[in-house]
Amino acid sequence: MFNKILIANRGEIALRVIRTAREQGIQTVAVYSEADACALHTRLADEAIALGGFMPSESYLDMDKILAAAKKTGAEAIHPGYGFLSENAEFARRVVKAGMAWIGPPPDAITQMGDKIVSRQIMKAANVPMVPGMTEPAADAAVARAAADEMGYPVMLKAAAGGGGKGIRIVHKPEELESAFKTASGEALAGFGDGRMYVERYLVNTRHIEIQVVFDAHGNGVHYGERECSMQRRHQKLVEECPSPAVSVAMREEMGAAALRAGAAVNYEGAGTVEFLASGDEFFFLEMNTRLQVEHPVTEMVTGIDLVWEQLRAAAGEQLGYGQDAIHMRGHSIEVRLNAEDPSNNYLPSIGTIGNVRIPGGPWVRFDSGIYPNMEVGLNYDPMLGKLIVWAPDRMQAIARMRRSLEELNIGGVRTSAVAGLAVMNDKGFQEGEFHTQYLEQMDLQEPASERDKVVAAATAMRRWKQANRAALSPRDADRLGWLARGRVGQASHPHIAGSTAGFSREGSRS
Amino acid sequence: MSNPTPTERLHELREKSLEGGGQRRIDNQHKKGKLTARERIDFLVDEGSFVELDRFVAHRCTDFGMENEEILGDGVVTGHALIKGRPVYLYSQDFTVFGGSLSETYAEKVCKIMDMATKNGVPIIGLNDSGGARIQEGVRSLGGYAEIFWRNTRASGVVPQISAILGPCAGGAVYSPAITDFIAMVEETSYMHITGPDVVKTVTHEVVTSEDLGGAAVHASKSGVAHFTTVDDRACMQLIRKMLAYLPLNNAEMPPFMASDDPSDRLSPELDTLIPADPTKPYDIHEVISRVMDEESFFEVHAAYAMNIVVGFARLGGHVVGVVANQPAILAGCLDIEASIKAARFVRFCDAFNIPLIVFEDVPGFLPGTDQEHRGIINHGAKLLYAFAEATVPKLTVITRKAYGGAYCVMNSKHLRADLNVAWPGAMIAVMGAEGAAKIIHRGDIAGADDQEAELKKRTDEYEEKFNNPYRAARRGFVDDVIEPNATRPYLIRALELFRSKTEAGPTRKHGNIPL
Amino acid sequence: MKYFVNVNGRPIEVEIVDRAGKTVVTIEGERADFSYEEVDHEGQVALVMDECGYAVSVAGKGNDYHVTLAGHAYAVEIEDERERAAHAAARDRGKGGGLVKAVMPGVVVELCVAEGDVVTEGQPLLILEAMKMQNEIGAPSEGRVKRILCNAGEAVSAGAKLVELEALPDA
Repeated sequence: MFNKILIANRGEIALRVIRTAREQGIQTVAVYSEADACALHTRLADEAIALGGFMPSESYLDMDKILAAAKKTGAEAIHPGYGFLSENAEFARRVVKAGMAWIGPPPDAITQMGDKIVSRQIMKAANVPMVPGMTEPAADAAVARAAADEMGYPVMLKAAAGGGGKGIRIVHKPEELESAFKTASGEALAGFGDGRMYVERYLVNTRHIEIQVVFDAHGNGVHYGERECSMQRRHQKLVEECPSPAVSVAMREEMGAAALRAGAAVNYEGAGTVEFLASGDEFFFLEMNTRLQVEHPVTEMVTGIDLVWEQLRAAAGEQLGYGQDAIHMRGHSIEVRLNAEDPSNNYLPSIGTIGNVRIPGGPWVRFDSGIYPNMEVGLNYDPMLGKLIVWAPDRMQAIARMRRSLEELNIGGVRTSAVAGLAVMNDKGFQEGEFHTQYLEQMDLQEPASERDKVVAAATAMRRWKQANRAALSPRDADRLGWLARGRVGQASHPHIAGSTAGFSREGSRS
Repeated sequence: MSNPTPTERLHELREKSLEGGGQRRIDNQHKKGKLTARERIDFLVDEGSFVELDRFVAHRCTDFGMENEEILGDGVVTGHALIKGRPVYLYSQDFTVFGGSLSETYAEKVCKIMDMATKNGVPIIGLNDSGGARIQEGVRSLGGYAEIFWRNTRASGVVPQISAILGPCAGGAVYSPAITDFIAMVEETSYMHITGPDVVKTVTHEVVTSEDLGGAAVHASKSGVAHFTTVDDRACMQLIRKMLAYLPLNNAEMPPFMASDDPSDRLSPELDTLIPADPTKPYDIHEVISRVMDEESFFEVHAAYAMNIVVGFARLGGHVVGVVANQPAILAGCLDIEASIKAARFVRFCDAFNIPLIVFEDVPGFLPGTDQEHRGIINHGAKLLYAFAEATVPKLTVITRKAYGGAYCVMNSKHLRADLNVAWPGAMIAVMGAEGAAKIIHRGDIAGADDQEAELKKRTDEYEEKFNNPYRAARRGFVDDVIEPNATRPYLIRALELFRSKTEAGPTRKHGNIPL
Repeated sequence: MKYFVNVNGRPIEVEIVDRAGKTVVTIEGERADFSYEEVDHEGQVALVMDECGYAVSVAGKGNDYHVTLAGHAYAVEIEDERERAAHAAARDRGKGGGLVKAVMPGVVVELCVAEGDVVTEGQPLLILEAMKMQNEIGAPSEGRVKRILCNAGEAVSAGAKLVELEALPDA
């Protein structure tokens, strides 16, 4: 096992890794930008090296600086967290080349799973189910039409060179396909200079379900069950849970096996997540994330496994030491992401300074976050402030616990997605487990009127009243220095008619 | 039942002092569309900032059974407060108590806060709503009024004094507001007159209502007694709040600076084309003022009176200035009796309170006619001249078009020791207009010519070309520079910056003898 | 002092006066038994109203506040009588007009309207990119686009003027 590791990240994930490392007696090295000089990860690590610079490009994305910090402190391994350089194969190679362990998958695995075409080909070879679709572009509208007819409607026409939502058309009826093909192709040609299109089946009301896996360096791999991540907005997850109310034991086994096949196909090592789109009891490979995920805690709560520790063990070359039959899922865990945004105003990012913070506690409540009062929330970094996670023996109790925890939670100074999380907990569809990836965006987050409104009104009025009274005690712009100065002069020279000369003498007027 | 504790007693009496004349009378005020004395204060001052003084004062009158009727506060609410964070002393007359009538003790309350204001160098605001003297008090009431008037006079030019007329203000009572610097009246519910409709009917047999005799509309436009009118009490309080932001706390302080988003170097190309080429065509001087001053900062004073001259406060580069501008759109911008009085008082107020003056000049002369002459345009025109000459605050003049004759001298000319005089390229600075001058100078030539009209035109054009421009004056340094209209704002801001530290001493005298 | 409070769009009148040494709170005409203590300087408030306890968090000042109570968030607008009269006058004068300013620094990605366009409340005026997300900035009220004060592709700071709207003439 390593004596000292460096965490090349910030915020709650850096803290997460530092916590497990310290429990295991491993020395920790934090790196920090100028903006993070007061961050919790900077303060709680054993050593902290300044990277200089504000922007990520000058700090957390600067490979030279991070490698220099590792060398300086004698770190034996680097944990990249998630985001930043965690899926950067070049960085992984440089870490290894510098003689340190990379706490993550082999660089080749990162590269392969990072390429949409290559990964699909590898998955096909590994017999992992994928979204039915063409693997080569359609020569013309007729070929597209034939493929679509075969795979079944609705279908999605996608530009081969496309991205950003452009060059995509959804076709529900066969007769619409050919004209849709022409317009989409034209759009793609104009937008990307490449009008090639291929056809994929369009899955409606899908769920986003992912499988957590860990492989050691000796070819052993195990999955830890699924996570349900369908509560998303613009492809950003808000609420995750483990297990999924829509996944049966049999489906779990199939998905787990497929995920392990996927990992094995790229000789995976360490922790990773295979993401699937599920529709009914069918599931289709979406992509593999070659790093630890934000929502890993819900798996930890249900399986009792410390995934960061498993990462460190795998990177240190240890044997996994247990098989699939050792993994038991017990109870239910839910996580709500707390992002600095305003759900009531189209999720507009919220910036400001964290004010008072009230963290919920009680049985099986976990708060993974790097926030502290007076922390500046700006636009430099990801808006995620932290995660609130609960566990309970069953799903209904977990929902009740999350609701209770969100009602206790207060993060002052910025708006957060906690309100959206609470709305989800109170939502009938969510409670019944009937939801899909478009569900959150369709939800109405408007607060219904209630008696609480009166309490809010009264509290606001009182606060304002108090603020006004306080302000009234200290007048601004009330200096009367000129008056005082002149008064003293007047008193000095004409003590017997002090003050009465004011306004009557015309000499020496002040301008 | 046991005696109340001292604290309980205090609370009881304090509650009692809030009653005023009772709920019925308070309802009557509201029915008329008026606020009570305390409601007006709430609207005027910053939340929670009003500190009341003398709330337990009661009258000392024992005549006419008055000893049986004692109301705490005695009909006026006095104290100090903050307006936009700056201190003021104020009194608010309570119409529900004995009709707001003034007694000896009432006057003492008002005098006390006026004394405090002049001691501390803090503005005084009076909210007037009173039936006049309390008859039962007799001469003591008159004495009370006089004490107040004396203090108004002592404070004049020392601290800003503002009066709001929110109800009746009749008889001698009107002299207090008259001496103060600004009067704001509420339309339809307020009036000011020395003698009321009843006496007027008896003596002169004229039948007239209070509103027609001395309502807000009359005083705003005919007599010029009111500087502002507002639609109701609330708007009046808003107006006072707004106005105070332009005024210093006392005559030893500078007016408050308020930085503006409006850039100091902003050019106004519209000004280059604003003035019509035809000198007989009018334009609205407000267009010039609004473009030169900081955005939306112009606060016009006396807008409905003597509309041929425009006066008001504004900010230029964040610093408060007093604007005096001829209005070519009304009476061709001529100076007459009312305009001279209006502007003279405003100039003297600015001079008293360290507010620099910016003058926009476009004046063809004084308004001719027997009406003006017989009513004393000589005396009244001299007031404005005197006021400009006497002022020692920074004085800047911009001649936008005409500056003829005596009016040229009067409107803050260099000779009156204005600090900066500039002209726009189209300025016409001369003894009189080209045609009039030509007629006089070349009388002989014109009379002797074959075509008199053509000769007149020729001579007029000659005169126009030679004299009707700013360069004759510029040659002598009577204007410091001729500038493009679009650059007026940055030019003035730059100049004002330097003159801010201007100091000027005058001869020692008790005071001059301005023609009144 | 009477306050006109708007809680998530619902208007509620609250009156606060000092009476006989106590602060008396009246909500929608009914006197409420009230105890209000500020726990810290950050807006944490301990409120006991009609014998019910509440842990409230109040942030803001002047006319705009944000209140959190039991996990629910409330956007609260509050005016006292004087401000209400002043704002009413301003609202009547400039119905539907106003300046739209940037709430945070970002880059103007795209302008969705042109000068002279008539817009409805909420209609997207421009797209402002900040924090890697594209944010639609909508019109605060109906009106006509009088002037566009920014350019596509331009980086703007918080508070920068973006679009000027003017009131529509009465139909």
